[in-house]
Amino acid sequence: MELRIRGLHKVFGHSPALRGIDLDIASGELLGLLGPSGSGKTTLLRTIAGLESPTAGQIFFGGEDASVRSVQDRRVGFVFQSYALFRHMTVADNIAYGLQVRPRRARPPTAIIRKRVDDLLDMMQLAGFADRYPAQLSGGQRQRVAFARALAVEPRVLLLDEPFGALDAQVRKDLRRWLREIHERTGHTTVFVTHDQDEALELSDRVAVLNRGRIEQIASPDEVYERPATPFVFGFIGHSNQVDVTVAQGRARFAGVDIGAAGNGIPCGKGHAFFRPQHATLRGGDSSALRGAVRSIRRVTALWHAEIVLADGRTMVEVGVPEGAPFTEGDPVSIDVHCYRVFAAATG
Amino acid sequence: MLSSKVIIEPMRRDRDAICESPPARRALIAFSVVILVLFLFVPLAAVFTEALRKGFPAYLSAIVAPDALAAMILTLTVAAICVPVNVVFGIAAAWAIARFEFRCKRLLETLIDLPFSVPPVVAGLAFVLLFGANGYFGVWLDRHGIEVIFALPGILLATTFVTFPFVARELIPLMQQQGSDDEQAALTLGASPLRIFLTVTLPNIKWGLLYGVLLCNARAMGEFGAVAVVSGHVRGATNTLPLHIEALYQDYDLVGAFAVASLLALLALVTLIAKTALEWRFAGDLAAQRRH
Amino acid sequence: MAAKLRFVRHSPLPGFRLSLGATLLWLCVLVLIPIGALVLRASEVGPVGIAEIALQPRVFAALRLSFSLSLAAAAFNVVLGGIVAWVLTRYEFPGRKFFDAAVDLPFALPTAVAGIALTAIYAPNGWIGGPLATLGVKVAFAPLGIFVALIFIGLPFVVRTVEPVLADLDFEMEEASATLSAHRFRTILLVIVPSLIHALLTGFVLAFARAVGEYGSVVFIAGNIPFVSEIAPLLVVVRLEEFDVPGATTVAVVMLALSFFMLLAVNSLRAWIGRRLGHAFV
Repeated sequence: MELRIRGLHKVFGHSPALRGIDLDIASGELLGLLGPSGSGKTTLLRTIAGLESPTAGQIFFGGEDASVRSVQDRRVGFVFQSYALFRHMTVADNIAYGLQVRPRRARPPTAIIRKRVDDLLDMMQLAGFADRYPAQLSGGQRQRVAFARALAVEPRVLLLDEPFGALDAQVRKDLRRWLREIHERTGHTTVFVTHDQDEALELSDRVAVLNRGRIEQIASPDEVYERPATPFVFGFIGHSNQVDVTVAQGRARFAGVDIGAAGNGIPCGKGHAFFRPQHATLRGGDSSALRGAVRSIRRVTALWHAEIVLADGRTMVEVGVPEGAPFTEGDPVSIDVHCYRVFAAATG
Repeated sequence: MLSSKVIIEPMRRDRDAICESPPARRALIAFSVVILVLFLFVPLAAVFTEALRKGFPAYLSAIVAPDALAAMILTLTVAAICVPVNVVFGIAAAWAIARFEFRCKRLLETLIDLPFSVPPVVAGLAFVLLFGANGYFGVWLDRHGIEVIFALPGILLATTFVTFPFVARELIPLMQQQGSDDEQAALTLGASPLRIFLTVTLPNIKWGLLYGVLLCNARAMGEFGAVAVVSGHVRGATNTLPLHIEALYQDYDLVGAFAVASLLALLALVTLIAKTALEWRFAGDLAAQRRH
Repeated sequence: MAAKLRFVRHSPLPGFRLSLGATLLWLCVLVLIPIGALVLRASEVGPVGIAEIALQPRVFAALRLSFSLSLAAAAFNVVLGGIVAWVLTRYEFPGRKFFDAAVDLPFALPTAVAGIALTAIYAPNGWIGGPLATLGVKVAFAPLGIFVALIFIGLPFVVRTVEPVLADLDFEMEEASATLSAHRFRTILLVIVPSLIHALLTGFVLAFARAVGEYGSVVFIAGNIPFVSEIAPLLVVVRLEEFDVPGATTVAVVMLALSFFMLLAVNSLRAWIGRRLGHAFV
């Protein structure tokens, strides 16, 4: 089931949460919505589900305009961050709920419902838990029950709201792997929301990066990481350094020194140059245009980063250094940047 | 007494997408308002309407009639004695229960709640069985010329019984929630027990205490069933305001009865307003929600 | 000293013996001894005597009236109070805070005042009793009047017990139910109400216990005709006025015992439900 979203706007009171979202999701795709708090990703997900009604815009499920349908009629599967399991029902009753509330005509016979519940429990590796209550389950188990419950109704789209947000790091890792497997097995069009970049980049077929109600970039994880389309995406994904430069005649200048080409189509004036710590090398002396002094060298998980104060005395950048590199605090250094991108400064 | 503080946190969600339709909502609101008006406001309005049925002069004369004044004084006396007594007890009970761990604590709490489960009339009966003419202490009291039943002491005992738990029930959860850190700090600074109590404990619990006093007082002044059994129903002597209302009513002096009732109704309104004000302003300082 | 150390955990705070002693003294003098007198006097009547008196037609009728009307009123209040609590918690409307505060009025209003006020309203010449009388419905001076009075005093118990639970209810459960294609009414029936059962039962118990022993609010509107509209508490008073102490004691003790067992049953049900939901009652 492919999804098309056109011109979606959502305003809460006076604050806009979504400012014109256009999105096409292919059938069977696993799409990650990534962004900081307040970026609108959860609002977008909930609007697709019908839990919020848009202020403007349309949502199409297949060819059909879903905006006119209530949430009950959209046949989406929604998994909440806090699971939202029905505490007074057993696991089996929770999973069967979506099938049992159907009107008599549309309701499958009890035996079929039971079989479906059992099949899902097997798929979720929760066989034998049918008669337990949510209070008796661990966080990871509850989340899988929530999944099973959403899958039981054979949804057209599966929507996951920070599905692993409330879980321990190890459980999160296991469930991520498990989600990928389930997705490959069932093939549902899936949209999930996360603020965790690793999760988005690891799981998604495509990632949509949201910021303040707009989609900054939507592309494959590789694309988003290696060729970020906007300053926000560059700064949000992975580690990055931002150096404010002046652009003139297609060249970028920093502290009066020409440091490289600015790339095509960048207008003259103020700009931001971005590069990642691992795309630059440190050299002693002043062999390259970008110069500075080492502030400190520290470990960042598996790697070592050197913090450099640039020639203007204010800008700080981080550059990856191999372990045991011969630099100490105060050393003057030059930075060779192999890969960088210049963006025009935003005008207001 | 139960207090309820409903805190609705604004979330970035419009509940309208899945909630009841506006017409259904309006119907439910209308229904509830009608119920509340019917059951709460109409009786209150009736009190004042009936009291003023024969005009304001008749109302006034009913209120300042000698028997009514005597009943007022008796009611005030009873409250003035019972409430402080129960405050002292309530503080003692709260201190023991909230600040120490000992066996049978739950039993103690259940016993403190006992007066709530005893019908007021039964409470009065119990005191009659103890101190009445044929009661267990009846002969002894008679020999010493002490009157309990059909006199002020009996009324005091009955009223204290029914208002027994109010202050304790407010203070115990409050003091438990607050914890004893403040008092322990004062202890390490060398303060004497009395000083700790006066300068640390009391200020911390003052709003909960006031709330408990408010409820205790309202019940003490309004108690009917228990006092009806132990009082001699002697007008001008052993009739509290509620009993005086009954007496006037049985005499078919409706205006008089409602006039006196209006005084108690005003007291109830003042209690309600003060109670609500305390809840709104000091929700954090009052007891946490109690689950029965 | 050694015995005390086993009884109470050591604490640096002063005043344990004083406060506990005062509490126990007060408790004994004011509560335990009077109740003890009641129990003692009842045992003097003896189980046979109690049974005989309790089964007297008039006594039996009074007990049956009190308990059946209290149960009915408490059940009615569960529905009524549930709706009122829902509206006060979930909806915004002008005067909501005012109405919410007003719910406590039956708590604050002296029972005698409530009694005569309700009688005035529901009497055949009253604001509501009048129109109803033309329809042939007698409220005041009939069991129906007792029922109305018991609803009045029980309503706040249910509302105040349910409100906090309702406010804490996880709205996402309702959203989940909607995504699973359940329409609003079904969600309320299958998801919301079961989550409230524990609180509703608690409110029921409190309203029932209060209703059984209620005197002042009921005695004016009831009519007090033996076998028809005479409540058990009134019978206790009547027996006392007849100097029939054993009779009064019996009615009182039977009332207490019956209430106790009903409360025990409902509380066990509440505890069972609480256990089934784990430590979260909601």
